[in-house]
Amino acid sequence: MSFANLPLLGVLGGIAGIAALLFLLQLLRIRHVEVAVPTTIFWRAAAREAPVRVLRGVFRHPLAYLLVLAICTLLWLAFAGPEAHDDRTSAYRVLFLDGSAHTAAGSEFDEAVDKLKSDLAGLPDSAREVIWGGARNLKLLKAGEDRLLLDHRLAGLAPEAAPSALNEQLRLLSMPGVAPESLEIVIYGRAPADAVVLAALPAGTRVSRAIDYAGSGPNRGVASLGVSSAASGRWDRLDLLVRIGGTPDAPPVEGVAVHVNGQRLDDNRLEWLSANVATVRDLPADGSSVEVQIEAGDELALDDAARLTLPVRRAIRVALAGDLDPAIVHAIEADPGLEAVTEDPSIVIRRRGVEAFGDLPALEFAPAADQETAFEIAYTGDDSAELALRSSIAALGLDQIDAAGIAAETQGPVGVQLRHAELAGVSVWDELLAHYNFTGSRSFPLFVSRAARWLAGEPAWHPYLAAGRPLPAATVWSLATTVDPALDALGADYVLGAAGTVTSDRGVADVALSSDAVTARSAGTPLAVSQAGGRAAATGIVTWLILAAFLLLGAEWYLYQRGMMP
Amino acid sequence: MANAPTFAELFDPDFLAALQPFSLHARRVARDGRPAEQASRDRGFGLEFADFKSYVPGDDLRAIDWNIYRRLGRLFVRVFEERKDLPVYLLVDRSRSMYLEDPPRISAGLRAALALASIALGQHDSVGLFSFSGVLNIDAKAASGKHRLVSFAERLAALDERDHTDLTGSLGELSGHRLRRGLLVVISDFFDPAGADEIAQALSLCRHRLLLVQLVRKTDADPTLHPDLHGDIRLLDCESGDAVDLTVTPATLARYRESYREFNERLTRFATDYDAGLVRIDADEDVLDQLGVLFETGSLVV
Repeated sequence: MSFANLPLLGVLGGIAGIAALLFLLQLLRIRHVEVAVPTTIFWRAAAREAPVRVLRGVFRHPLAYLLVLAICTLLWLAFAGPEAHDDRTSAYRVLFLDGSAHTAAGSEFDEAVDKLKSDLAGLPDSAREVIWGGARNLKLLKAGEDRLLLDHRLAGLAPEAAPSALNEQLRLLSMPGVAPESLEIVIYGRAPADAVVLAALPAGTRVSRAIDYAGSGPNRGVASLGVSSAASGRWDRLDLLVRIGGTPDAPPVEGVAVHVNGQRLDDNRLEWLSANVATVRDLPADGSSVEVQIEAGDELALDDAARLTLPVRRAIRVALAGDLDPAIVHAIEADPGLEAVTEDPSIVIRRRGVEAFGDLPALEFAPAADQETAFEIAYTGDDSAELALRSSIAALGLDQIDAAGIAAETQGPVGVQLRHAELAGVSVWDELLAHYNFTGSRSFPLFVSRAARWLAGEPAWHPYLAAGRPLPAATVWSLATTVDPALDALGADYVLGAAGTVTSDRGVADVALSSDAVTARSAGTPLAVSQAGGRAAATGIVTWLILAAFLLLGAEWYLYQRGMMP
Repeated sequence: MANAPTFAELFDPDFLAALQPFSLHARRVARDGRPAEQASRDRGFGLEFADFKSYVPGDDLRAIDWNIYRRLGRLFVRVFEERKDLPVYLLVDRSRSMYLEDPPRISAGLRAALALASIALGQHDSVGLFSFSGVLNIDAKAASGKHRLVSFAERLAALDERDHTDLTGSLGELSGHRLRRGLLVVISDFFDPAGADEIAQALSLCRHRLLLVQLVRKTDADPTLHPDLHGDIRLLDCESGDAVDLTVTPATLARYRESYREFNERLTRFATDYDAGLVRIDADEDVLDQLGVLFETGSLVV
């Protein structure tokens, strides 16, 4: 038993004070009600035998005193706000309201909120908190805050198109020193708990579910949505991959519509690779927005559609200046992502000394006498030399060349030199082309292709963007300067929130829900059902106390009217 | 303070008509009364034969019984019982206690007084009116005649509230008036501070036959029926102004009831011992119905 409005000592002290005050009042001379009567001769004897109360006189009417004391004590206890809870439930409680797509079907969210409010009324304010688990975890009600604030803070909140963040919250609570010694986490909603995460929780932490979800209805949803380079080899085209997931009892997949910029594609474009996996080939890589929708909706609507923004891929305009080795021309022509032009190029390939397109990033071939190492890279940006070196070797495909073979032929080391410059550039020994058969190796076209892309600074693009999952590795050969800074600023651990759109300085990108756990209505590790609801009756204590006080008042009035008490 | 009834309220023809079946008879009235209908000790002319006596000069020759003279040769005259009036003295309490509460006890008292006066005047008895509080007042000397009923009612209606009750003193003063022996009707609540014993003592010294009309209320016997008599109270005696502070409890109520019961028992015992009439009239109930109990055979013999 605890009290919401007063400490225990305050309650006991108040009762003692009331008892003392009433005792004094019993001893005080009272103000008589004057009644005129025809005669007092018959009352005199009675008055002699039962004199009125006087101050410091003999204490009389103990039963009346006890009755009044009981009434005052009941009212005082009601004011103190008693909250009943047994030892088992005296643990600190984290009430986790699942606002993810797991609890978005039908009225599940409303039921969870109702259950939360009901249980909250029976819990002491000082030993509980409420956490919203949507795309991000949010503390709705801190310990000690009045539960009346919850309604206001819940206003406008609805399940979000995101996987549950429950496990993230549980991981946080499993960290040393975070959770109190005795903690009960009650989940309001369907958010699945991971067995590994549960196992890592401290010994005094219990996890339970407020509502026993016996099962779920059939559900279908878009479980995966992504793009890849077109199998046709066309540089400016992409293949879209769609995977439909669902519960085991879900009906077969029928009626999947694909819209590009709002225009529905012909159903024949959707090529089913298996019962649940389909592809749309050769979509233009022009930044269009693609939406895949299951036409037959179901109870969980959030996963019935998914959107993806196609990356923009255009051929890099390359100027060939001066007398170049034919192998270079052939490599350019063989790469569909490169286009040899004479006007408005993005990069230039030339021999050192040729002045044409001097203000463009250049792939140059220089005499070995003019260049200390076989490869010389000029980089821009703020990265350190070491990071830039490591990135550029992979980006340029230098790790793919037969450096040992070349070194054997040149009878010297094949080195890479890095320098910071205002303009990006790659310089290679001319002799590698003319005398050491670098052009004949299989890595030469790759080197040319990657060098061109690195110099052009092609924007990064991601094969998919899924809510609640880390940003996937960018499909690009670039240094940090070419990566979308808005999306990749935090590195690979950057987790997208809810499905929708993210905006960067390069435009707007769609994020899909694409969650197998949500679509399959995964229940996760089975959890015990919380008994918090059984304690809701504790809220009635105040009501019962007031009712009892009124009953005693009625009894006092009856006795008073019957002349059985003063 | 409630108002006493006015003449119009008191002199109710229906009420008076309802009294016609009632009569008041005395066993024997005192000598020297006026001719009326009550049996008396006087011998003389009348209809009821009483006795014979020897003729002496001066006796009425018409009363000589000639048959006896023929047989015995001596003169005897027949004597008859004379019918005289019964003096009825109404002694009405007009102290403050009779005017307290609503309706006041004086209302029932005046109605009872008027009823008895109406019955007595209707059978040619004389009726006198006295009122008392701290002192005795002679409001109407004894007189007879039905026509006096109106003026009698006016005098009753004219009675106003006075101070305290001194029944014992008033009875003593009344005895000093050497009235012809008759019926003394005391109409009062008998709340004399002197107590029931003193009242009984004073009544026992009266030379008259007695009829006690005690005006009561239900709250007298059961104070819990009074809406204000509970809790811590200060009782103010309406006559003396004395205050009694007490806490109403079952114990105090029991003690009160015991005192009141002893008071009534003392009055009843006196009535029994002295062959006096005693009727208790509830001031809240109909007076006529309660008087009907007194005249249950149609006639009240005193």
